[in-house]
Amino acid sequence: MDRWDPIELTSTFRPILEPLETIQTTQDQVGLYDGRLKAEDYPSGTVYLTGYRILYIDAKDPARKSIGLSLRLIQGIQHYGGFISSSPKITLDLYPRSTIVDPQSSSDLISTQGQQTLDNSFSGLAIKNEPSWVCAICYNSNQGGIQKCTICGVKRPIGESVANTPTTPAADPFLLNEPNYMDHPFGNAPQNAASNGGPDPTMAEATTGIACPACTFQNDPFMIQCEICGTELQDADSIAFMLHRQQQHQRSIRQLPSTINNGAISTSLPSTTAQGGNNSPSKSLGGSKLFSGFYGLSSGSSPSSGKSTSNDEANNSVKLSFRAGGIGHFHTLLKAAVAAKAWESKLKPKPLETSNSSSSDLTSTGPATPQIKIGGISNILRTVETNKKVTDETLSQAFQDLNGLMEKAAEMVTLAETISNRLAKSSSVDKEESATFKTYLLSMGIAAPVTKDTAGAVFHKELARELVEFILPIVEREGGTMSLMDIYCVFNRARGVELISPKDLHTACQLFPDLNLPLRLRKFDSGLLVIQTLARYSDDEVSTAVWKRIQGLPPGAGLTAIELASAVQISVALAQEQLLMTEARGRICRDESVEGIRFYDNLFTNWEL
Amino acid sequence: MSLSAASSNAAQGLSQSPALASGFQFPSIHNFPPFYTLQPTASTWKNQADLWGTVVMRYFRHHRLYQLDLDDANTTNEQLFHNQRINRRLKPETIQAIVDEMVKKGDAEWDPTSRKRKAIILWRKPEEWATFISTWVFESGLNNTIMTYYEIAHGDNAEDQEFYNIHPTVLQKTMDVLVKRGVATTFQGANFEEMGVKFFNAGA
Repeated sequence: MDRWDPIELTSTFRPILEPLETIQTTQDQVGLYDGRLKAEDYPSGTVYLTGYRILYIDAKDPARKSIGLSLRLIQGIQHYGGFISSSPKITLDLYPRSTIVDPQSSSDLISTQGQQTLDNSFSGLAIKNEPSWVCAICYNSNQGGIQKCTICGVKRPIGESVANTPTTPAADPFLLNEPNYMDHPFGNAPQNAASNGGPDPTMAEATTGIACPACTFQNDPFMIQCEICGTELQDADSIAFMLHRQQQHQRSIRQLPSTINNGAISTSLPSTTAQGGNNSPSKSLGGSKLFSGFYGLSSGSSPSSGKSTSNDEANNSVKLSFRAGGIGHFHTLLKAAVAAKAWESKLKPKPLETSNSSSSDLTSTGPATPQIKIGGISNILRTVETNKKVTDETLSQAFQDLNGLMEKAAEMVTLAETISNRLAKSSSVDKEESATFKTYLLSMGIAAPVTKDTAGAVFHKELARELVEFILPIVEREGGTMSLMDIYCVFNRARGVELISPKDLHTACQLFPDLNLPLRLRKFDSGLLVIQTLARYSDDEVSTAVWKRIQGLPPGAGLTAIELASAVQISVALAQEQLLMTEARGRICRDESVEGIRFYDNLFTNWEL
Repeated sequence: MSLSAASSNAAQGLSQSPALASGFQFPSIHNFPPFYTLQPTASTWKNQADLWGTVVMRYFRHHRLYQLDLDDANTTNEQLFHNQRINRRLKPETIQAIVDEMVKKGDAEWDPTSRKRKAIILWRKPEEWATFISTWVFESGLNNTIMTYYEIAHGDNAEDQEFYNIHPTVLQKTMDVLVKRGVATTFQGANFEEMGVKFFNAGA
């Protein structure tokens, strides 16, 4: 899991995207696998595929368990269709770490790197402490930590998992060995070597060999996997302990006084490996060279590590398990996104800026090359002209057809922002015009709207989140309540061409409580649907305000919904609703006539005859 | 009564209507437009219906009226339920609802045969009428003689009494009260007006 990075989220737990990053698709109920094993911290969440990253947002704890994997790390993609009760999965082979970090760069780096990879390898190993088991259905030998058969997905029998756990003296060998090591740092090496070299069973028992739980072969105590069948032998604690001890040892070597020169180290190195008690070649931890063994463990650069798949897979591959379907779509888009390499173009500056800044270059490369060095007013004029031309071209291209507009959407937004900035600076334009323009800008608010294509099964949830992000400031400005109809208009205008249906909006709004969003859909008795901010403006406050307004009217005058709506800048339907609510509280009364309903202060309450 | 009402309601900004030709003056709430709309809020409606009940009772008492007929386009309905100054009129169903409220309080009674089109407004309870009539009978020395209902309601002797021209239904109710009190006994007649009544001696 170390390849994943924490990501930033919005208040509604949607990912914050980088500039120009767009969500390609979304899928919920996806679990992560670290190598072949389930990553227990990331059991089920929503996975977003963007142009640059794969983002995982946990369903239960989105604030802390949300991580992203850069697409640039992906080397290959494997698709697994699922079998019986095993969910379909996508395996992502990652580029080995060594291609990113060069372990040979410096000794300082080695030490820190060693520390890091050590931790990583702990996390990778932490779940591999149980013996393998054989699936009752398909007879596939599965690794210990896996609770479902990797081939057919059938669950591991519960009784078996307990019964088969061997009583291997896992931690003991180290406890026994440690005093030896402390007392005779170099001296007990041959003894160990002798004991391991000859697989004498009595000797092995006496000197704490480990019996393989699968094939009963007596392995050397420092082996992680059985030499014969490759079954995991030791529990994580003992391995961690061993790694720690080895690391300590390395440190002690490095910290030797300067009297010991390179030669001394080179002599001591074999002794450490001998101390490690490792006579088994080519296993990741027990390589004849301890250093390379370390890096083989984490980076996968060692050729021998290709076989010891468990550790490398943990670091160099990631699985996404699609428990609620949607894998086909995701797979296709993921392949496309990896192939598109959107991140490579990301480093370029924004298109419009490019065109503006390079405008002089443009002309210079054009036919009018000799004019490059002309300065003064003519050059300024020419630059202005070129700028205008580029802008015009962008505009005309953008509005040629809808697809063109979608492609140019980002540029158009940038352009609009530039214009608004210019408007703000220039005093010649009167305020009304710039205000109008600003409302247009507001309407262009959503650059990458959530669509059914990109969100798939979680469309409504995503829509609800996007809606809250977009509409919350507007609702607050409108006094805490907006009718659903108004929101539909504003929202769809902002979405541009990706219009949504009223039903989608309604469904999304009904999800507000489930998603813990700060807005609520409310249905008034009359059937009017409104969106309200959460408990900000209570009915009491609203009705008191309406009542006060009516009391403040000249004597004998009433108030209609239309008058109220225009007075406080809300929709008529909402004004009507507020009046009815106030009336229901007995504060005002109505007068129905051919002119419509007028509301008056409730004189009946305290009238004395 | 109108003086105190005017003082407490003066701030509401409702103008006072001029008195009718009969001398009756509507309270200023009669000029309040919502007064003519059945209020959907229960508590508001209760207050409104109470106010209407009081206004109707006052009007009927002032004009010595007994029967309210929704189908009758007489001056009563026009004056009481139609305010031409503010161009508002009570709908018949609203009037029914108001009378229903009055019936609940014992201030009115539907004519059972009229399907809620006619009602008797009891601006004075039958018990009160019984007291009035028995007092009048004893004071006039008419006890121990048989009188017809007509004599009580329209007789020359009763011309200056409050129960003059009393509605037959109200009179019958009053007589029922008197019989129950043991003050009088009734005799069947050919029609209602020929029904007889005999008051016993006082204290009998």
